[in-house]
Amino acid sequence: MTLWSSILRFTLFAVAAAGLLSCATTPAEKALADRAALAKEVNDEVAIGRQMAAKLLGHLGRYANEPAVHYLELVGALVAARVGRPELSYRFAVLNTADVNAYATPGGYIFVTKGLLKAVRNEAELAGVLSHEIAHVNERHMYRELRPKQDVGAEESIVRLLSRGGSTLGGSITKLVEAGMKTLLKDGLGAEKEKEADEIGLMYAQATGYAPSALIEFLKRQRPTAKDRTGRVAGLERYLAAQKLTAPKGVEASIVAKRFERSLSSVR
Amino acid sequence: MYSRASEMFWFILSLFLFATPAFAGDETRYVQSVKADLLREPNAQAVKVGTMKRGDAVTVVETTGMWSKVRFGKANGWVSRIFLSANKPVGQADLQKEVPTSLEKASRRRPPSYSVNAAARGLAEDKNTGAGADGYKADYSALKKVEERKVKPDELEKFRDTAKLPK
Repeated sequence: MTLWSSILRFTLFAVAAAGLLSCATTPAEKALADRAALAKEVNDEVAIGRQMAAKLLGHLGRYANEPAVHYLELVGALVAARVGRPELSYRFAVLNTADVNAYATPGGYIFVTKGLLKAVRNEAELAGVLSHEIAHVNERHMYRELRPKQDVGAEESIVRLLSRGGSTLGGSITKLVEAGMKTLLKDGLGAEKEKEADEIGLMYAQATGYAPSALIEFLKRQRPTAKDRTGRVAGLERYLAAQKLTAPKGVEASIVAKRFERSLSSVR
Repeated sequence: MYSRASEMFWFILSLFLFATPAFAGDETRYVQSVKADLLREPNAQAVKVGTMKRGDAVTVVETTGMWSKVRFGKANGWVSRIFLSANKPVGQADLQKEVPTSLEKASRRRPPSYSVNAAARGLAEDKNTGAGADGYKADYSALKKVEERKVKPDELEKFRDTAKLPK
């Protein structure tokens, strides 16, 4: 027997054995494996995200203006109830800084700054910003950057999956959280992911009942430079037109305007 | 002994076994949002041909950008892919029930556990613990206040309905 035929025979047996094993999984076992994989992923997302959230709160402080915080929670919960991942609890909080910004950490922790609450002009703009941040969470933008490269796929055998224990993170979480903070506060997620969150955010806002163009109007005021106008904002306007996204009809604009002013008047 | 015929047999068998998933058909996805419209064309203003609710299974036959062409029962149409998920939707409580791990416990078990566990107990000295090499100090007591707050479902419904936002 030649070396070549030995190698070929070994390979064929290995391939056949792997094929037989993959076929041995029943639909019920696959469903269980899918759920176990989802639970582990959610565990890891929340584990990383809540530690990042604690650091963000430690770094910038929590703004505890009750009417404003409660209003933020209602608008955020409305969007999350509509388009959020049902396996997550979304939390919304205000950071005590005059900078105009918003953040999302894995697992559903969403923050806006006090400066942003001053800068938004209506509920639809706030909903647009929150939709953008929820899109980052739903698409796992930060988590996929951070997670160890040993994620569990749905096709992985159930025995291997269940033997792995409750987490794929191990003792690496401290480093992952530090890397996440660097991405969150210094490097950013990158133009591609921001563009995706913008586009998904427009669709989320519309699905919740808000004018999707409100996010674009907000960005125009925050990013008035020519480069931004022709870049991110112009791209979003093209996307809005191409997708034919328009403001939903029938919304009680006066009620929305009144509660916006009432809730945020003490911030302004 | 090892013959050309047995070599061919194993080759064909392995091809068959591995090729099976590839011929298994179109992908199943589940509606993740509370509801999603089934549209005649891939744009938000297209004619609605149906409405799907969270958990409905669809078969994806084609994907273009943000849009997926799907089969839903006997209907065919387009739905934005952002409203679909590979996972069957499962609430947090059900997920905890069905797997041997608890989301909250798991997140509190991991290092730096001393500060997280202390925060879970609500100790006063928790404030500004857990600074890492990055210099950012964690405030777990502030996080606890954020996590303890809940929006009541009836209040959220009232907030939505008084403004006539869609259900």
